[in-house]
Amino acid sequence: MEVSRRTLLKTTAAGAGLSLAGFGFNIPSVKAAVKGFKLDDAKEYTSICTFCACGCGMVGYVKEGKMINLEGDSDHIVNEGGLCSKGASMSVIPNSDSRNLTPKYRAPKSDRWVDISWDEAIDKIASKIKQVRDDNWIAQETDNGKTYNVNRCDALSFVGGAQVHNEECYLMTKMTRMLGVSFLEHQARLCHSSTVPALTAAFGRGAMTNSWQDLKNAKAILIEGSNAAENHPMSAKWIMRAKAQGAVVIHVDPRYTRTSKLADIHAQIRPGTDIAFLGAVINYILETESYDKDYLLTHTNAAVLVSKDYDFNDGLFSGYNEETHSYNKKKWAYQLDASGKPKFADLTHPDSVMMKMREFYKRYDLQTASSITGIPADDIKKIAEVMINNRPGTVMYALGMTQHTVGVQNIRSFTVMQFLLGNVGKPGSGINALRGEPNVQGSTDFAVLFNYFPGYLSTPNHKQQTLDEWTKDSGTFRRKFMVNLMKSWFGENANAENDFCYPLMPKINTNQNYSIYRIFETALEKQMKFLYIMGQNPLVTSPNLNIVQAGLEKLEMLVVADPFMTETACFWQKREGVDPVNIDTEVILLPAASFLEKEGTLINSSRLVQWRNAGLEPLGEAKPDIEIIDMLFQKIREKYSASTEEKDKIFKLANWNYPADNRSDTVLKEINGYNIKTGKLLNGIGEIQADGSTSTGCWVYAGVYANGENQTLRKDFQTDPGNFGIFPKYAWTWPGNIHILYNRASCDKNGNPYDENIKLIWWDKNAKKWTGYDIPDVPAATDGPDTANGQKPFRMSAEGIGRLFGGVYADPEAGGTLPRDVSYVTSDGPFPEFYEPVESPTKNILHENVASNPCLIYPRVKGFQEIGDKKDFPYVLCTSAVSEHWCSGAYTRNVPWLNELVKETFIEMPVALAEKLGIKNGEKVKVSSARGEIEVKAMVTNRIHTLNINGEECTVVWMPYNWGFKGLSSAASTNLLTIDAGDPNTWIQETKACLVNVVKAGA
Amino acid sequence: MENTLKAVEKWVKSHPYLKDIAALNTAFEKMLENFNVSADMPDIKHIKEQFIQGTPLLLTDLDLGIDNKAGAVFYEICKKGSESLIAELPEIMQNVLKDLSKLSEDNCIKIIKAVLEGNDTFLKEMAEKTGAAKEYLEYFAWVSIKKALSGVKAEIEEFISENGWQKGICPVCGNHASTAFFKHTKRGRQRFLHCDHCGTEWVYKRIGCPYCDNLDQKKMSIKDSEDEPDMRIDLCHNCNSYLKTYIGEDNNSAGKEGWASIHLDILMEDTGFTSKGSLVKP
Repeated sequence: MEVSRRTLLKTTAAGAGLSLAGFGFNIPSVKAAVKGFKLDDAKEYTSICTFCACGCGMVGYVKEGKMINLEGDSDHIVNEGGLCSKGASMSVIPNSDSRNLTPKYRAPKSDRWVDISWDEAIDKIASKIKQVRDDNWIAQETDNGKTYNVNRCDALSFVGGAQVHNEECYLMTKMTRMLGVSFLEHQARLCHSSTVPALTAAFGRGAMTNSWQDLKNAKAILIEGSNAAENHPMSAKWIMRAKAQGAVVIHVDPRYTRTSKLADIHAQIRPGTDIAFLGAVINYILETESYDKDYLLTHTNAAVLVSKDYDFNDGLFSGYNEETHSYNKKKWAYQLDASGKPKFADLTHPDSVMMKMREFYKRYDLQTASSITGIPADDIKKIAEVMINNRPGTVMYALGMTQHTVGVQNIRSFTVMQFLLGNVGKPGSGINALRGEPNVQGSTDFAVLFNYFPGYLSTPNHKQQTLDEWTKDSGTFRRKFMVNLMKSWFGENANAENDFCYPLMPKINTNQNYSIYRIFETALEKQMKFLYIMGQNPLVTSPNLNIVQAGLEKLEMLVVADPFMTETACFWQKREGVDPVNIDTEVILLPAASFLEKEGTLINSSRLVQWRNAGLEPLGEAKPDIEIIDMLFQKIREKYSASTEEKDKIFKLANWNYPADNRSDTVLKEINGYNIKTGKLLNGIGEIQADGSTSTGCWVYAGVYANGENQTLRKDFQTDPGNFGIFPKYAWTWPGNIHILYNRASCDKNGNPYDENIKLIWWDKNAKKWTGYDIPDVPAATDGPDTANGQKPFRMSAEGIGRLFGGVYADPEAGGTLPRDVSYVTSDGPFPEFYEPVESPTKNILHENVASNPCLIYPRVKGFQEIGDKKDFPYVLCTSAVSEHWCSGAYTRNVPWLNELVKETFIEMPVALAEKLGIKNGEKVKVSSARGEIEVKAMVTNRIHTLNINGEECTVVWMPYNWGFKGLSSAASTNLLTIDAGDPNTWIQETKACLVNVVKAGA
Repeated sequence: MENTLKAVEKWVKSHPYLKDIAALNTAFEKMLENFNVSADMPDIKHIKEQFIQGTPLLLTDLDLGIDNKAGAVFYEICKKGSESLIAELPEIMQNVLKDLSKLSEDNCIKIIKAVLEGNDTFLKEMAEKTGAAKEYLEYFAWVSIKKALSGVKAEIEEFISENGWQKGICPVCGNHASTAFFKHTKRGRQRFLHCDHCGTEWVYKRIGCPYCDNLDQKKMSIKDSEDEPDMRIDLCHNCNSYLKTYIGEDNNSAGKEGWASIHLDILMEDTGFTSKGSLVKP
């Protein structure tokens, strides 16, 4: 029927409705009956879980300032109303008696805390920062006879964090760089730091390519180095949807876990041998020619010619320097044409990447891989065939792949495999890096890491004195993002005449390592004086805890901002081996608001930026970290206000002015960026200018405030064009709301989808633009397949195409002297090569003389970093987390019912080993490594089988690392045993594979 | 019908002061207990695009035959108007129903059409003719429309669910939502909106004002009461409206209906907040 619009409006008028009193009903009697009813005030608000990076939505109900209920947000596109055991328990946190309520101070040699005021705390901290900075300022450094301005203070360090919001990370980075700090680190170093360079080297960007929801589109899912069902519980929801459509799930892991239970194939692998396993899969694809030829030719460098300088022999690539344990990467270049562009041939040219790759991988036959990994050859073949025959297929991985001395190359192996199978850029494909903390993606984006500036710009080093010199190594494409960052940080004080204040920035020394490990090591070396920690607990989660403890004891001041009392904050407290009388460190504890008590944005593993609301006031005197950082910087600036020294002028130039009642939103706008001339917020990356007329605090976030609206507030959970799980109007994804990265690669050369059934984006000939169900990941939407821009599916690599061979390449700028862009090259090779873990139960059968990563430098500190031998430590220890506790347990071990579920550290060991050692389930055992010894209970199971490795038996044991000496449940810390030898690219430690011994306690 | 009566009975048990008002619902249910509602659902695919663009079903080209079907229901009410079923209703209402007992089926159909088209002129004419105020004609018309749609309610709601309706106005008749309620689904505890006019229920955002699309949680609050544990009131400080929400666990509860929380409307008088979409008010 036809009803007019006028009618619609009329019927929706406010106040409409038939009066019951008019109908004769006795309304006064109803009124009298409810006269005494008391209406109370309450509110509901949304937040995002504080654990794994699924980024689950929560709804909290608050009354009289207390949390009454917490449940899953039914509108959320990832968890769809569900919460795991940890998330569901968080209603306890705002009401917990264990919360830090007031600032506290521990004096040198004291055995107790005393309460202090916020003013006193901030003043003490600011004074100390100033004193340390003034006493240890490094204005210049000399290297090879040349003097460089470096503007650094290496005695100050800041850590954290993945637990705090993007706005807090941004301000932390901004503040510390203004202070001249280079030791700026956080959890990512220890968990996923290998992900960024690995994926960047292959794709140009270092993030999870697809999304949690996209898992449902896969036909094959390879889960390796991850116990996703237990540690990213909501991922199981989407895996099961894929399974319901017939997807095959493969789980490769040292144990049989809940993830293995939902898999169709489980392969038990020796920790640290993933490159050998994946190498065999890759070799099988190559030898059976099961690769996607068109995809390789169109979207990768498979047909590019490699320089004649490239070689690989007996475990080493060309260009190796044994003295420095490093490579001259220039040996891994392409052959270039006259214009400086890579030369292309075909897949059979002997110099082609493809042929070099075939040559490289032929050593990884099935039997060799089986000997190294312990996985039967037939199983490796079966897995390879599943991946070949079920496309698109995807990969899910976590710390089982990252935490190795070959962590970066582990992940690079995935990229090679997925390129060969044409499995990047399509729904159900890609490489899904399962980030482990609620905002570790954000803390990485905002560069709470020494080697990045926000937006993955390289940290300036001492050889890059000017912006031009920096640009020479990074490219003009990235130069404009650095200019815009400087404009955000310095406002109108940054201009072309002063190189946009770039010279004021601290310059790291390229010969130094400023990672978190080195913070404690340099404290032992009497260099590091001050450490500020925000939401991190190194005395549980860092490897080789003895060195962490020793380093903390040498600091002059430690500041910890946390909602709970952590082991790190209490490192000085009396216990075995620790006497406060011997410790001079001043310690200040700042009570931080919990995640339910503050607002701001955070970003999950699939790059979804979401807004968290603050439904509660912080408990006691606790404050959100954003307020703490703001107070601290302002106090520091105040203390420097009278200084006329060159090093201190930065404080006068800093653009730092945030309103107390709206900090987070104001900072988010600064991050998004402005057109400085018009004062309007930028709508996207495309509006960023190189000339200083725009500003953006982190270029990949430009557009988060498009059209003047906070895009992270959007909650359309129903609109999903194509039904791929994209939900383009739900919150916001970087970059530019692209959900499936590299989606141009889902189309052929002409812009037609490879598979019409899963078409995602395409070139619309009529409209003359790229279009589709996702935002097309192309340089310009109107540049078609017949243009250069139309053939850059991996536009963030300098070549614009995927890099199977991760070699050196700087793309020339037309008519310019500086390169347009420069591809990232890993330190330890353009192809992933298998090396044994530092502590290995066997020899390297591929090249015995180059057993472990040749770029590794370990030990770094004598007396603390012993390397164990299998004759003393015959078993391989792998560590990770239990589902019920998370990371250091600072939150979860303060929840009684989670402690009831799992209450202490234990060692899981196979029945065969238990029988050999005469150990029964539940009995106490001593576990020792070259670094320490702890006593725990044994859990004897059938979940780990003895492996046959190179003809010998190899036993793997497993321990969770979530405990320390604080909290409602305390137990021995597993990381007293683990090794801090690190990947040479990122220094991430090898917590997944070290050697231990196990004996019955009392034996 | 049995379910509805049971639900009303259960609600009245915990809200005895609403007994008389509850009789309004039960009277009509009993009047229409033997009335056969059509379950024929016409093909709906051809209007899908219109619906997705935001047009409520009754305003699309979908021919549900609602005029005739609801008209027949209305006629049934009129025929039964003088019977003992209405003895529990207030005298005013009984008189109105007696006045309407003389209406022809053809006029009933015309009244339905006029209500749906917003034809006030015709309704005023009919009001004069019958002696029953226009508001009463509208009320009975909506009761009839709701009954007529009940036969295809499930299919309609399935269509709505599949095609994602995200507005606060009813996807069928276009009226504002009158109340909200929570229901456990595969997505945890989802919020649904209820239309008092035609009885349609549809999923809506968990948090957000259905009247002005406000998503700013700082401009929202809730009133709840230990004296009324089954309900709460969601307030929007952006448009100064309120939405009564049933928070109990019974999916068939009468608490979802606007009349069942009329006492909350009484408590919200003079607060500066107004309700929308109600079929009845105090």
